[in-house]
Amino acid sequence: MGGCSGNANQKELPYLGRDEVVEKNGQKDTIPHRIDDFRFIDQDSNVVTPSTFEDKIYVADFFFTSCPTICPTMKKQMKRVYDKYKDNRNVALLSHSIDPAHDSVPVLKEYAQDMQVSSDTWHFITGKKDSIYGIAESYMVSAKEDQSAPGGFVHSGAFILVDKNRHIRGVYDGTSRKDVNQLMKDMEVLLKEEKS
Amino acid sequence: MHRHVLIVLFLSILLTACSNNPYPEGKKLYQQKCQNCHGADGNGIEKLMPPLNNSDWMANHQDKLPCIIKLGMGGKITVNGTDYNRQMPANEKLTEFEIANIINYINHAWDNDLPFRSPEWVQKKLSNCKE
Repeated sequence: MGGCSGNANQKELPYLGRDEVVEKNGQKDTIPHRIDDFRFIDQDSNVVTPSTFEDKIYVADFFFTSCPTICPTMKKQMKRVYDKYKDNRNVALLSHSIDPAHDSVPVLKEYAQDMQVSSDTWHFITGKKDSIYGIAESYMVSAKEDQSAPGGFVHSGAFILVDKNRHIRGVYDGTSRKDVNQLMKDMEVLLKEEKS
Repeated sequence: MHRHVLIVLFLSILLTACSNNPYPEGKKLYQQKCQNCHGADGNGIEKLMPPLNNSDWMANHQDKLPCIIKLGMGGKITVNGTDYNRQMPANEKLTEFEIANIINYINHAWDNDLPFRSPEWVQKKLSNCKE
């Protein structure tokens, strides 16, 4: 999956997703895919919307706290990203619970505390189920209920790198240490781009 | 004929002794069933998932391991001074052989040096599980 997101020598990251064609003053213009609007609540009851990530690049993923399969590995890898960027005001992390019925604000709060992370940098969010599953499509990952799956849900283990203009600039396997190394390299590229 | 058997036996002991991984079956099962939470290094994850490596709790609760692996566990435990309180899932399809393989792997992996456990020992413990 690292191949999707380029390599360390690449100067510029790609724009991923389906381009949107808009017509303005009779001119056709192509806009890269953008993350839709959203409004969720994080572990400290803060409202989280796209404006939370104004002037920030962020990494998004989908999980649930009682997940017995890939989530703990994903969280361990995301913690590496957190440890590197926790004091960088231009970086944020966004973990969406796909089990909002169970993962209430206090449950997410306890989870974040056990991960020993702060909501200044890493938001664990909950919200309406339809909104969360809807936004997953906007991030181009799958998330759905499935009684036959361990824990009752299936979801992608992807980490999605989003720039400050809500464009997807990289997709990584959140269970792979190697892919997450690549993510952190690409974040450096993106941070430089955003500065210039 | 006997000499051949002895040579094979000797070689297999040598191979086992040289390997860092004397319980390959247990390691495979560990990777499938346990590693997501407890980690390839056995150190767990922060305060979410307890360590199995150098774990005082695991050393002191060996008798409980077969039932925990098979039926899962919940409630608060304190491992090396840190409290953990999350649900561990059950793995009810595991046989006593597989559970013995897993225990032998984790008992000897990383820095651990805990006893070898036979499938008979596991079977005996399993017959006393509290549901």
